[in-house]
Amino acid sequence: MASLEPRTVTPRDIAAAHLARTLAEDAHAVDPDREAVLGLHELIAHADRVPGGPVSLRLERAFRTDPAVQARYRRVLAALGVGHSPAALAASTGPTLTREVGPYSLSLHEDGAGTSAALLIAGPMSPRPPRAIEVHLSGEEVRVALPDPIGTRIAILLDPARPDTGALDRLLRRPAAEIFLV
Amino acid sequence: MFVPIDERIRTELASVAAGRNLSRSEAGWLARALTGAVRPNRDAPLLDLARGLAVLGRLDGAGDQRALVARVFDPALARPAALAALLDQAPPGALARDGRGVILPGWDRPLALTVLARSLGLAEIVALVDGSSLLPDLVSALRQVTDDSSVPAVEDAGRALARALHAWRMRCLPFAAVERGLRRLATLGAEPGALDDAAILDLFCAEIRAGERPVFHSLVRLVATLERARRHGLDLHRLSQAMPLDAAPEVEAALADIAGGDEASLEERLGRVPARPKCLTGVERRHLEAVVALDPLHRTRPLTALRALAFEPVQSGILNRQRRGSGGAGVAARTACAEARPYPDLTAATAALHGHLRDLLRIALALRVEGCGAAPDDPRAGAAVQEGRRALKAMRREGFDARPDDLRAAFEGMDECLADLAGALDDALARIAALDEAAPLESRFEADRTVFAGLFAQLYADPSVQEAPHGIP
Repeated sequence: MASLEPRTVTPRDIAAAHLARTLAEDAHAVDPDREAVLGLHELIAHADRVPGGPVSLRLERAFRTDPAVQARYRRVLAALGVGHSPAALAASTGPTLTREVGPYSLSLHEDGAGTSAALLIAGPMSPRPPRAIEVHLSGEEVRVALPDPIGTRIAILLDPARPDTGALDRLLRRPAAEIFLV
Repeated sequence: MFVPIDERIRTELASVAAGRNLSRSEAGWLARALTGAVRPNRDAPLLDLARGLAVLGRLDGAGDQRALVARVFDPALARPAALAALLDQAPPGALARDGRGVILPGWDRPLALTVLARSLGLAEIVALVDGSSLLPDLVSALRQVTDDSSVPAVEDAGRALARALHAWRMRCLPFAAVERGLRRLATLGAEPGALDDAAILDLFCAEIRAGERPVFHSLVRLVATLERARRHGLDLHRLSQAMPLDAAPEVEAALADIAGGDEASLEERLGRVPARPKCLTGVERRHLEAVVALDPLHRTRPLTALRALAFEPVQSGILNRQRRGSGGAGVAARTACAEARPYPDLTAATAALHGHLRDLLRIALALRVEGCGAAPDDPRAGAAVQEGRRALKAMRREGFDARPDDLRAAFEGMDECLADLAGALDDALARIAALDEAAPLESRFEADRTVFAGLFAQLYADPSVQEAPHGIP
């Protein structure tokens, strides 16, 4: 394990120990005014929730008031998800719009009237398929549950009359939207 | 110079420690692993973490990354017993368990469950700091060791984690500032013990004149660190020389002691004094912690310790007021230090606490003697036992009316710690008494208050600098 070189202890070592003491002392000085950091497990549970299911008020409050929590949540989503795209890697105009999200390819097919569209997700469906799609764009976010795959594809109809699928359709068309498949 | 650590890192570490119910020494280890104060190999905790991730990756259902990530950050796995229960459900042949820990096929040595448990705590804090910017590194290490848990692959993942964490340390911890401060102090006090009270205050003034925004308490803590290092023969001037390999355990012990995270430190044991019976009130506990945290300065530099105890609340009050922008007196009013506790007050509080600790020790003695059922032969001891019984009767605090057996058991767990704490206060009070004899504490305090009020006014009275960000290096 250890090399045979003689070791050198540097002033940086003492600095590291000094910083560790400062941190450790604080870790046990309980400050009743200080609100606890949202634990990663809470964010993970939130990222894995069923769309429309109950969410904790503490989480919702933290999301609204603390931009750092939102940034952290997006990182958790990206880490947890099976596919993630920080922005449009490939977007095309015309009847079909495609986006590459990790190993998945999303394509948005419009019908002739442009009123409703179908979203097709193609990509690896094992060991488990994505269960939800979440799209973020400048503070706005939408989460939609995905149906079970048929073969290697998931198809979902984006009904403009419904708030969630309507918003998903609108956000997916924006190149700056961040997409997570969870 | 003497920049404090980013408030967020402290809060995050505190929340990991609270969420996992870590003892003070466990939290201390976590802090050391995070800052890189683990020897002989600062990367060893991350190699252990990579091995721990490989073990979790071998469990059933690990093909599902979402479930795997959720499992890594599950605080319920903070205890070895919970880990053991989880590992028992592993598919047959995936891993082997023995008395020393868990071992994967192809590994040369097992991973102890206690090491696995603390590694998961390290994973959580690493994933939290800096707005979770290291989380992708952690997840990719997890993916790598799940795909291939052979020794080279795991070591590779551990090294990648170590590199990512090292880059974070250099970016987010005020290493350069602390190191510069330590070097400067070492130059001032080239002779052991030459860094006296006046030199410390002079340095603080010099920093302010140089346009820095030092925090007196941070400076005093640096001095304490340097003194602790000296106690272990670690001299900054000699440090850059190579040390023989067999000195590594000593260096590790020295660094652990400087960090205050080792099992034997008084801070750690003070943290373990139970809340019930209520031997220490919150105020008493905080006072003791403040004194012990300055160790060894309460013995070697009592005046500096008094200054830190009296003026730290004033300066941190000013900084908090600046940060919040509201609440309590304004910054200008605070700089006058009218709220600072005078040295005679602080000393009286310390003396009262000392008396209280001695009462507790007499109670402990009486309980022990009653426990073995025989009266002591020594008449002085007999008198002390009598006093202890009286003190127990007079004690009106919560939990002291418990059954004698329960009370005895509680005291047997902490009487040694109480004795050491009383000894530390004994030392501190003796030094302060000598100080008082040389020049009365009251006049020392008035003189210091004038000095600190002038310095704080210089630092904070200028309205143009009031909104300056503070605390983030």
